[in-house]
Amino acid sequence: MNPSSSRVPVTVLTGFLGSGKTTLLNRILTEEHGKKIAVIENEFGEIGVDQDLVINAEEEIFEMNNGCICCTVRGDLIRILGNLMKRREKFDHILIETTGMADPGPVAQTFFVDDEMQQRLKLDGIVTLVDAKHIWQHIDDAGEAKEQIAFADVIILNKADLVAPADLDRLEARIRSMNAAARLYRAQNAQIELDHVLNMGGFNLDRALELDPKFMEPEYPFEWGGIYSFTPGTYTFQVGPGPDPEMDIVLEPAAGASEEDLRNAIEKAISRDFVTIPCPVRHTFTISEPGHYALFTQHHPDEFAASIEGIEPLVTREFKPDHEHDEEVSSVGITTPGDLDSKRFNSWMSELLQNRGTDIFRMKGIVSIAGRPERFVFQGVHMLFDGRPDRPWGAEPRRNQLIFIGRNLDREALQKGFLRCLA
Amino acid sequence: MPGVKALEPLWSQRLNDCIISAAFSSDGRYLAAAEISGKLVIFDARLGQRLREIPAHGFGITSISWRPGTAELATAGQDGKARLWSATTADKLAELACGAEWVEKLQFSPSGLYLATSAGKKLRLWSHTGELLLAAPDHSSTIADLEWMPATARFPGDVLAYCGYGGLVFLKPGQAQGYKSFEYKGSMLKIRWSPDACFIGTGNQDASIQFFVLPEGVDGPSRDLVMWGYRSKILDMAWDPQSRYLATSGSSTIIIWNCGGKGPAGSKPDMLDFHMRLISELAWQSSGPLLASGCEEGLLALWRPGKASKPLATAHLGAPISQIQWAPGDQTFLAASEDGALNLYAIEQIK
Repeated sequence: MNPSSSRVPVTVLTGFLGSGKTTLLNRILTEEHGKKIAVIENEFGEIGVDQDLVINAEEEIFEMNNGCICCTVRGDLIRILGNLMKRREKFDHILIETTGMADPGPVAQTFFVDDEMQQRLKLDGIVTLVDAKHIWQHIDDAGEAKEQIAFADVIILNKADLVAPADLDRLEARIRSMNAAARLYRAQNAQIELDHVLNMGGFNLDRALELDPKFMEPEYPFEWGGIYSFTPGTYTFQVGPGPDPEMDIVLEPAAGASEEDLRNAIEKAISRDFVTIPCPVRHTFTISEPGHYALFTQHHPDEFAASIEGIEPLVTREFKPDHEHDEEVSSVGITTPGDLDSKRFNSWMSELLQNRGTDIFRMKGIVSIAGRPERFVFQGVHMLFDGRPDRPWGAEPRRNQLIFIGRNLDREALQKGFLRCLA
Repeated sequence: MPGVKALEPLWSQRLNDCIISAAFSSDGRYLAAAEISGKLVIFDARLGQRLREIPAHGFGITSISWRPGTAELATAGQDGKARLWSATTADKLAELACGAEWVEKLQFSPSGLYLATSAGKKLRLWSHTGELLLAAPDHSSTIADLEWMPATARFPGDVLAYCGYGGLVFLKPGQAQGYKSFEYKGSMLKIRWSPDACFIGTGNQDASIQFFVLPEGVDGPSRDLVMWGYRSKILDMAWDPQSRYLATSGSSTIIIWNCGGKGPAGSKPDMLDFHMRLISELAWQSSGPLLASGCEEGLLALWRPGKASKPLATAHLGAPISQIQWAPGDQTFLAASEDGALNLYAIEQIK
């Protein structure tokens, strides 16, 4: 197999009708970015630019093996891309636009199943455009909308200007609960840095972690926490109207005003009884002992224009919420130091994919295999798996980071199963 | 390899891009080669001289076909069009709108009366002058290949077979749509009729080939069987002139099935090893015993299957072989590559 560097990156663009795919494609084709890009648009595509490198394809989806959805691929893509890759004029990038209702699975799987595709091309990423105003009409009913979000490496909340900031936050939290690994951007009129869309480096999990350090964390019953320094007296927590008619809060003594103090306060706060306050409200409370206290709130104060009158927090932190769970689609992240026993890891992975491959939409990971100097990176779509050695670990601490995105995932079983693979 | 000759070309030309398709006119006088990026070049087949260059399609050509008995040929392109050309004048004779942007396949019927084109799910039949005779109802999948039944005294008339995901469909000019089909739960990529029209082999995406045995021709009873176990999807197949052997790609080994007697069911195929990478092209002489093969490594080999298990002669083109075709009369054959090499070889050299 060719090293991944010589393979041409492919970006798949998904999103419901009206989400802005065509606008984004037109921008990519007209902007000066110095890249030679070929676009394969869907059969209803309507790219407005007079462009030689736009090919219109009829989405032909078929099963490679009888009845296995994990092996559905796009036959038309195999033939069209096979042809494109033979040309002397090489493309720096290939963009594939899917129809609004398309399940991204077959497009992604095409790059794993067909030898020719795997040798010459690599799936760089799946970009899903979300119409921030109208997505609520689909997100609960249309399986395709959930799948497009679950499969994505990058999610663009387009038309963000048409939605109130609080609603956008709520949408973002909902999407995060389904796909914790994707990078999320807000945009209007599909105006987004092209670097966010092209050359994402596929399973660059490092970058996903950098951008959202919260995604591997446990889930807390609050979205926000802050440490205040109080003198004895009575205070008012002023809360405006917000997306929820009530909110849980808890106040917990803290040792100081550092981030570590805030972290230490979290564990204690979880075991406390929360106070439920209506919203909007002016909630008063009395402090008798002077010192530092951590306030944790179920919702982000910004959503309710909430604050303690006359006093500012010294340190704050946002948390990944657990109250916007999608009952079906979610992400499970595992991060742990140590080396893996390659045999045990392989057999766990193959058993997992065999039994749960239909429900696992995407998985990505960087793992440390015992006895191997380099990082091993992989990504998968359903049962299909593409893994290869990456750069050496060097001075970086060896550790394992994985994420599964799928339907009805059993977090505990995944974590336990993985931990058993440690050498 | 000891005892294996090096093939030296009679003439050699280089085009600017991958040669996606190359073919001799039926009188053997002209050789047309299509660059994948859209240019058609007509050569004097004997001398290798460039006669004409035609910018046939803006973005790219996908396939070409000569009209039998004439110096006219058709090209299919990535611009939604098929075009008919005169090789003697380079004039465009007609332009055909094929119904979808990516026109993938086209072929003239053996009678030269009809031209079939496929673009996505759209199959169209045209007269040889470019008049639309039939726009068939959308096929259930995109059409991957089409091939006319060879002209034989036993089964006269033009019959077209086309395939895709779901199977094989047969169509006769004059009918409104396909009149017969063979279903297959998989994607068929290639169709190859045997020269006597009593067999069809299909090469499939799922690394299998399927045989349809048609002892009474396409309209008679049929049986079929699938051969599994190839390493990769089937890129090419070729029948020997007696319609007994089908040579198949699908790995670096040429696998030849014997369809004599009750075969190929229960028979063990002949396996020829020489290539190191996937076989990309196979071409059998139209009346002789020689088989030419090419692979993705750029190696070209000439074989006499059944007589020797190693090649008679070989050459290296330096880039994946994209086309091999015998000239009418079987004395020469062309080999083209993905980096634009176009060579003509003569079998006289190996005698």
